[in-house]
Amino acid sequence: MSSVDQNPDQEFADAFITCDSVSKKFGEFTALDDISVEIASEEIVCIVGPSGGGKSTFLRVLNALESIDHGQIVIDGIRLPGSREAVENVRREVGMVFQQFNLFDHMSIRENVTFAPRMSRGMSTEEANELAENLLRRVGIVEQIEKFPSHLSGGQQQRVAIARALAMQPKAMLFDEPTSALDPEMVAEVLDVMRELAKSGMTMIIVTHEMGFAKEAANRIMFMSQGRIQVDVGAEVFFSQTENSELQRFLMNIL
Amino acid sequence: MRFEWDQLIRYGPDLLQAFGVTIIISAISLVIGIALGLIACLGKLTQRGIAFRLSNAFIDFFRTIPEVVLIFWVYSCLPLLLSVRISSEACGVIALSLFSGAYLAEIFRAGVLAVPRGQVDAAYALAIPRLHIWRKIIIPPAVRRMMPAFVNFLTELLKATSLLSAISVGEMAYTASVLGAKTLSYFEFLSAIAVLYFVLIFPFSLLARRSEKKLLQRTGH
Repeated sequence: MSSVDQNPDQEFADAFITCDSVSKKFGEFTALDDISVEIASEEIVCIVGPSGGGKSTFLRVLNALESIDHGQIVIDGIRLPGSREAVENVRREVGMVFQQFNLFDHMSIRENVTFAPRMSRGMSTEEANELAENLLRRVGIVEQIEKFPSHLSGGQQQRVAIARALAMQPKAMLFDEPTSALDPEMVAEVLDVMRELAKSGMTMIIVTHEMGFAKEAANRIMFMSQGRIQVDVGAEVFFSQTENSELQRFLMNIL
Repeated sequence: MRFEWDQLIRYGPDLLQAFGVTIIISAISLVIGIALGLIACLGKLTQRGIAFRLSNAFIDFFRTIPEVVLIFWVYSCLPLLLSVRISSEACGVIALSLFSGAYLAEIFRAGVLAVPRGQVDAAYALAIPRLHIWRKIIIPPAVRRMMPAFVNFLTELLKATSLLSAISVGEMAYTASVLGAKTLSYFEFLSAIAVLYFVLIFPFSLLARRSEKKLLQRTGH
């Protein structure tokens, strides 16, 4: 791609994710309305906005968990909508963390983390075990490895979920309100892991209500409502945006 | 009146044989019913298309018509329709298999739908191939969740075999009424099979209750 020449002053040159006129409807409800956006490698993007504004749907179409009605998405050169193979290739490159953790509750923590690399990357059990131990050490819960999800706190479960997604060695990670289901005292431990991940150079798209985190960790913040990206600016200027009255109202209510 | 134990002892072997017939017919119907139920369940889970509509029709039809009507129909009409001879035992198995298939399809489907959608999403998001998602993420918890309903259905099936007496299949209910007519010891034979049914079915009721309790403990709500 020759975007380097076209955008000489952009900090991030190569688009890792490109959305071109992406629309998605659920029945009569327009969840995504003609979204075009580029996200570069190693960029940290936070998405904020009212519920029902399309944030979660946007993340889900990036992982092909929802089909799109119009437009196209290109992720690391793979085009969506595409074949089942294309869909699986995109999912290998893009990890996802959910609000409700969604750990496999009939599997131990070890099995949760090793399952995908074994099934989807054909990794041997020993290799996958070693990877799982390293990742769980990185998120600070390696000592819980033989337990089951129901024996862990919400914060611990979410950290396992992050390790599970990282076990696929993705190039980008999507976070769908990763701390919204957590008790307040557990939010920090999850945000710490995400901060560390951001420093390691991971491309991240994070739907969140944690404005402090967004301000400090993101390169770029988007405000989504009514299925559109209404505001898309650098994190340092986001909170002084005054043109968009809806964003003003949203920030007043949440801060 | 006097309870004629000697009649029971004399015809004990016949009753035991009938007990065996009840079990064998239930077992064969259950196995075929599981196969039919799996096919209909998968068909219904596709949510559209011809497979969906066929499965839906199959399930609705055989869950709605009374079992006795189904049994009579298979016994009296199916041989005419196919112009073949079918033994009454085979008719019984066919009718109960259709009945089982329709009920089990819904039990299987409820189990699959009870698996938290988020876990399936998470598996897809991890690029896990569909076959492995079914084998490891959907089926094990689904089986656990459908166990109480499945065992309950088993008790219904065992009871339903007594309806086959209407087409003179030599299971327990039929045998008891024949022996009753022959010896006029209805009281003895009908009481005896009531006890035999109880002995056969009650353990499954207990098992259903226990698996339900275990499930509640596991899922925590």
